[in-house]
Order: sequence, then structure tokens, then C-alpha cells
Amino acid sequence: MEDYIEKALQFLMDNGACFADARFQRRVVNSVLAENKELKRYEANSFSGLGIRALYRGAWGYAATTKLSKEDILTAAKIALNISKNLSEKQLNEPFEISQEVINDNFSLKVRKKLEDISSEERIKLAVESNKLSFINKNIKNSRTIVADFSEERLIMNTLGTRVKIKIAMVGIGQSVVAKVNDRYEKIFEQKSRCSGFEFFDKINIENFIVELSKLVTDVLHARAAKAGTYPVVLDPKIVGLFAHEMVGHATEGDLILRKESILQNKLNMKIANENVTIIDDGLVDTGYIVPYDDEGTKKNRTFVIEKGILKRFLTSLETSIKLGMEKTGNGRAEGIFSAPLVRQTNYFLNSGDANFEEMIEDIDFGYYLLGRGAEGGEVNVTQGTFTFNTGPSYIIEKGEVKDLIKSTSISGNIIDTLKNIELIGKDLEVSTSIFGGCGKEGQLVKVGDGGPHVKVRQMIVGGIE
Amino acid sequence: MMEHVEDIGDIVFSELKKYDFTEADAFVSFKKSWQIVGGANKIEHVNFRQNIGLGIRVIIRKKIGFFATTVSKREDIQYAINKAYKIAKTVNEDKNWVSLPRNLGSTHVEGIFDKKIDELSSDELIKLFLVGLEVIKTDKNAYLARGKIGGGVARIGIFTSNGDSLVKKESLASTMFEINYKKNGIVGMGYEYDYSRMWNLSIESVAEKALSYAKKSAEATKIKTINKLSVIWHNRFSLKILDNMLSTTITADAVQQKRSPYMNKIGEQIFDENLTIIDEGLRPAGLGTAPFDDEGIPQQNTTIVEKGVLRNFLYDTYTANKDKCKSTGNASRSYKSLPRPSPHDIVIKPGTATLEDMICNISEGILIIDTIGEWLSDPVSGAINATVTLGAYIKKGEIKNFVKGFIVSGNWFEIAKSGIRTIGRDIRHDLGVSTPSIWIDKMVIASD
Repeated sequence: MEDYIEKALQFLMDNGACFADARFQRRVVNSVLAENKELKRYEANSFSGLGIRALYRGAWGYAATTKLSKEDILTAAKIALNISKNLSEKQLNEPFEISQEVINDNFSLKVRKKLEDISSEERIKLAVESNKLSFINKNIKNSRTIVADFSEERLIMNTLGTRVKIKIAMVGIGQSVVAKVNDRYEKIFEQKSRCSGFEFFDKINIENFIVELSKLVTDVLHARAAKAGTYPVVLDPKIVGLFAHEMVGHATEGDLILRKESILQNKLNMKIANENVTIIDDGLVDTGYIVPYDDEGTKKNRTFVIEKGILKRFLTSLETSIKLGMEKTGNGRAEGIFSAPLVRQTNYFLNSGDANFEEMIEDIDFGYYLLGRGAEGGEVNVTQGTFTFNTGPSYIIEKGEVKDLIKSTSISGNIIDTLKNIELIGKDLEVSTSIFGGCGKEGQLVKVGDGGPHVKVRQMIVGGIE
Repeated sequence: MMEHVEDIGDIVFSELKKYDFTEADAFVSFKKSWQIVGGANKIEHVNFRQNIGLGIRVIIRKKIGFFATTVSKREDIQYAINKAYKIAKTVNEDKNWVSLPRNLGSTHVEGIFDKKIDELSSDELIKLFLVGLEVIKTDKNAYLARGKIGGGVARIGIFTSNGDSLVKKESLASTMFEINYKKNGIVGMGYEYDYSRMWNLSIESVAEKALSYAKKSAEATKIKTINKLSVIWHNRFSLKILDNMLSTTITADAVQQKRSPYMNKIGEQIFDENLTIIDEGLRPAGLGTAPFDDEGIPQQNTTIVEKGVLRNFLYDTYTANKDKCKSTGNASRSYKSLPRPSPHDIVIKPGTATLEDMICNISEGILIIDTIGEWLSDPVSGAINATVTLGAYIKKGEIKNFVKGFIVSGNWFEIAKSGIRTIGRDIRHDLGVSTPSIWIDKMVIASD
């Protein structure tokens, strides 16, 4: 395979491309769904494909295929080059030169229980037995447990000489449970994932995870909804992950800066948050998603995006770093070979501070303690600066104390205002990831991690039905 | 030789001769597509992709083994069969399994494949994109932040050990423009998109509409009220809510597994009597239209809700066998997954009112046009939450100003039963769902 790719890249250089790269991906996936105490579906697949990209006079052409013979790979290269030449004729593009620190490296995630050694029986047993644990009372009507894993090899090669091979594995368990009383229904989904071999399942307390979720959804049946309005809130680490990712993360992606889409585009080196706010994007967080190199073969460094309240850096890919005149942060990532890399976050988190939880809630007369367990995500409009995310079942804070449970709700705010409203930052820090979801952008879903400590925000908009 | 889905089907069944099994089927998908990605007022890059995938199901008595693979060479097929066979040997019997569907067939449908999309070149796409870009550049305050034009074809083959062999061809073209518009130092963002089975995208119109939304967005201000207000779900928003609330809960699978709030409600008046909901699998040129579903059962139109009364759920063969009824032809899958019931195109029967008629009749309310986070609403509890990025404040029957930055909330079951005032006539078709604008009695607005 590598020989064929070398020849295709050579062909591109011989025929006028000023830069080209190729990504080969092989991924083996297993997904076992148990529902209502029985195996529902065992779905497994193996995927192999190649994407090849050519740059000609400032114009990019991209071709991807699952046909991988020597001829097919050369054909893909020819298509990519034809596209880029065609585009350069029809549109005036400013030529630019790609530069990169040339890297030759193999990265292989260390795992103890290799996924290829795990039998189908073991996966099925784990899913079905875990599923059975969820029926703790007669209110639980439906329970779905998914045990998922994948192993993946990515090979990135370019005409500058970079040759990077990444081999990683990821596993996770997801649990969705529906409870009913009278005619009222509640549903909750939660998951635990790690870049790891199957040993991850020995390290976590699955019984506790499943049973607690069933208890929670049962309690939520009797919980009130939040009151609509603007309140002081304390966010737990999981919600802070969504908060950091949606509120700041996307608005600091270099391609959105280049397209003048982001509300933060003119704020570099300006103070946009309190001094206690430091936000980091880091490819190598044990409990997050592991990205040693991005999909362009650039080393993913620890990137300090906001340092002590000052916006210091944007996340970049090869092209955006050159066009913005900024350092390469190793954030050029693609979902797979069918798409060209975009600027994406890796593990984006708010760094820990020095506050205690008690300090955060003590002077709140009425507000909410918002929890991430059962929260399913968020979204942002980076031009307008409006972001939103939903929470899991959460709590009312009244007169400095955590009180009653409330149902899941939605939170919203404006990026610029909310950053300034971050008051206190906790000492704790948690980063997590998910095999079941990811971050969606322009139709591409990539795995990310996010997190932070507990955080107190002076005010945010809380959705409600009263 | 791997170019044709039929050839892959042949190889599968010639390889399967080495194995001992009860039944087997192969789902073969060949996809080819072009896409232009633009941003910063120009084309950023052009993509071409092709993907050949195969999903193999091997059944031994009532034990089901499944494995999927991309196909580049014969060995890929051999590997997948072997894997599927081994899984079938491992799993327990599924007591609800009867057999692969036996009544495979095809219905005549029109307008779902355009040869022009099959024969696209980067030339045509680039030219078309530049047409859209010209429209945007005519306004010096406007700027293309992001844009896409795509066209792709799929050939899907279904082959079974019972000798069935069915192939369908589909095409889809799509476009999206997202425009920034600067006015008095404020940058607004608006977008528009369109899908078509045919190569007939109206690029100028999409670009013009995106521009008009961007202008409105640049004028939008915060609202200061926290209140219950009348709202109109613009069809851009009603599409997203109806899809979220119905697509996963009206399937027989969800009902049989007790995760649908509609279980045990067939024949009941669950919604307003003006609400009729049909899953359309046959509408000419419909985005969910096909001659047969993904396990080879002819597609049909199925009434889900008739004048507010729940009539049917959507079935594939497995769930139909379980309920001892017939499949509604709603099996859906990719080569990587097993079939499951899923809607083709949930269509809300339109009413007679125009959007303007509805606005005229509102003393105070909000027209919700664009939102973010609405997909986080929960179809099981019925909780709707959406953060509005573009809305219009209505006072005394007129739009006073454009608004943004607040959350609207409500409960779907209450709204659908007794909160609908008027269903509009302006139906919009999207992937999997088609809805008009709908006037809702009251929703709660949270703002600062």
C-alpha cells in the first residue's frame, strides 16, 4: 500500500502539483446492542479507504476511494489533480506554499486486552448482562445497552516527506433507559468511553453506572421542570466540557476565523474573560480522545487558547496556519477518508482554578446546579455568538444549598458576555470522551474530548416551561 | 468487475456455497458523489468520492450473523462472509426470527434518478457554484461564509439465498449557502439550502434567500420579555421539530420495545383533529421515494395519524413478523447496519392558511425561523427546547422587528393535542420530513 501511495504522490509532483498528501484508513468496528434483557443486534464491519489531495496554484482537489489497487490509487490521484487544475482555471486563487516540520513516526496506543482478541461471546455477554441490571423497578420500561469498540490505523503521507502512522483503539458502554409513570415518560442516555483496549471494562464499575442511571430516570419522573429565566448557575465538569467546546472551542477554529465567521476573529491578544480563565486544547489527555498527530501529520501540541483571560491562539491546520500567519497547532482533522481535513478541536477543556464547591453556591439565593450526566450535546452560531447546550437532570440551588432535582433543560448565552460572567473556577478537573458521539461540523463527525472543573457563572439563560 | 453491484452479489453467493447455512442475504451499495466546498467568498476545494460497501447476513436456523466491509478485492468478500458465519455460530437463537422476507418486489416510482447527476464533472459544479457566488457578490455588505453544492448517485443491490435479486438507482443533488451580512457594525448570518433528486437546483434562488435571511439576522435584537407567547413555527423550524418528535417514536420497533410514548394508543385521538401525518414512500421525486425498501419490500404511503387519530406504526419484516402483520416497506439500513424500520418522508398534511394569514391574526407573538440545539429536544418526554437565532416579533398582526438569543420551550404532546391554532399551506420538503408552518397557541420564552 505505502509503495502505491508513494508512486501516486510522485505522479502528482511530476505533473505540477505543488503539494499533495494521502491518508489511508483501516477501521474495524464492533457494536453490540442489548435491549430489554436480550441481544438485539450485533453489527461489525471492516472499512478500508484512501483519500488523496492535490494543491495546484492555490486550488485544492480531493478524491477518495475504497478501491485500493495500484491502478485505483493512481486514478484517484489523477482525479484530484484534474480537479485542482480545473478549479485553478475557473477561479483566481492566490498560490500559497505549504510548509511543515517533516515527521516520520509510528504511534501505537498501548493496550492490554487487544480488541482483535476479544470474542463475540465476550462482547455479547457484557452487553446483555449489563442490560439486565437496569430493571430495578416497575417504572423502567425500556433499557438499551450498547457495547462498542473500534481499532483504527491511519497512515498520513505527504510530498514534504511526512510519514505518520497512528494506531489507536477505543471502547465504550452506552446506556439508554426509559421510565414511565401514568402517561409521563422520561428517557436518559449516558455513556463511558476511553481510548483503551477491553481492559477498560474491568476498571469501571458497570453495575453502579447502570443502576444509578435507572434510579435517576425514575426520580426524574417526579421532578419539576426548571423555571424559565436568567439565573446564576454552577456547572459540573461534564457540563463545563460542553460549555468550553460549544462556547469557546468552535469560535477559535482557524477556518472559521479565516472565513470571518467567528465573533472572536478580532479579539486575539485581548482580554475576553476573567484572569482565572485558561482554556487548553490538548491531543494527549489519557481520559480524552488521543490525537498524537492530526490528519495532516502535524504534531498535536498542547495549545493554550485562552491564558489568564487573554485570547492567545486560534486552532489551525496547515492551510489556515499559513493564511492566518499563525503557528501550526495540529488541529487539521477529518472524520475519515471521504472528507478533507477541517480545523477541529481535540480535547478542549477549561483548566482548574482554586475555588471550592461550597464557595460557589454559598451566596446564590436562587439558581441552578447544572449536571452533565445525561446531557446530549450542544450547538453554537459562531457569527452571532449564541451558544446552547442541554443539561442532564440537575438541581435547584436555594439560599446557598443544593435542593430539589429538576428535569433536563436547555441553557443559552452569548459567547462574549458569558466569558466575562465566569466568576469562580474549581480545583477539580475531569476530561472525558465518547465513542457514541462526537463533534459535528460541516457534515463531518470527529471524536473529541472535553471537560474542566466545577465553574460558577454569574448568569445564563435557562429554558423552562413555567 | 467490482463496478457492478450484481457482480458482487454473484461473488457472495458463489463463495457462500462453501458454507452450511439456512438463509443469507447481501446488501451491496455503490455510491459516487461530487461536492464543492466554498468559503471566504470563493471555492475552497472540490471533492470526489466513491465507496463500495457490502453487508452480509448469514442465518443458521434462528441465529443471525452479520458483517460488513468495503470492497476492493475478492478477499474482502471472503473475509466478511467468514466473519458473518462465525458470529452466526456464536449468538443465541432469536426466538422472534421467522425468515428473510419472501415477498420481495418493486413498485413503479418516478423521478428519483437523474442520469445528469451520474455523469457530473467538476466543471459543471464549479460553474454552478460561481453563479451562486455572483448573486452574493452583487451586495457589497454580503459575504459567502460557507457554501456547498453536491451531487451523488447510489446503486443499491439486494440479493438473497432464495434467489431474489433487486437493484435500485437513486440520485440526489444538494446545495447550501451561508452568508454573512454586515450592517451598522453588526454581522448577521443567514443560510438557505435545497435538495433535489434531479440536477435542477435553483442556485440563484437559494443564494438570494440566504442573503435575505442574513439581512434579517443583522437586524435582530434581543428580546427582554419572559413570557408565554403565541408562536408560529416557520416551516424551517417545524421541519426540525416534527422530525425530532416523530421519526424515532412511530416505528414498530420503538413500540414493541416499550420506548415509544405512542404505545397502546392505536385508534386514540392523540393529536388535534387538524393534524394528519402520512409517511410517503411513493411521492414522485420525493426524497424518501424508492421502488422498494432496504430489504426489498415495495414501498408504500402509510397513514400514521388521521385527523388526530393514531392509525399505524412503521414496520420492517422482522417487526411485522413479531406483530403478525405485513411490513409497511419501511426497512432502512446502510451496508454497515442491519435493517430497522424508519420513516421515508413524514408529511404533515398542509392546511389552507398562508404564513402571512397567520401573522395577520396574531396580536402578540413570535415567528420562529432559525434555531440551534432544537435537536436536543426529547421525543420520549416531549420536552421541546430550542435556542432562537432568528425570529420575528409580531405585534398587532405585523412583524415589528427581528429577534434572537432566547430559548423557547414547550411540551410536544400538549402542543400537538390542544395547542395548534392553524396549520399552514406552505409545505417544505426536507430529507425525511415535509411540513408547513404551524401556529402554536403558547410557548414559554426564556430571555435575559
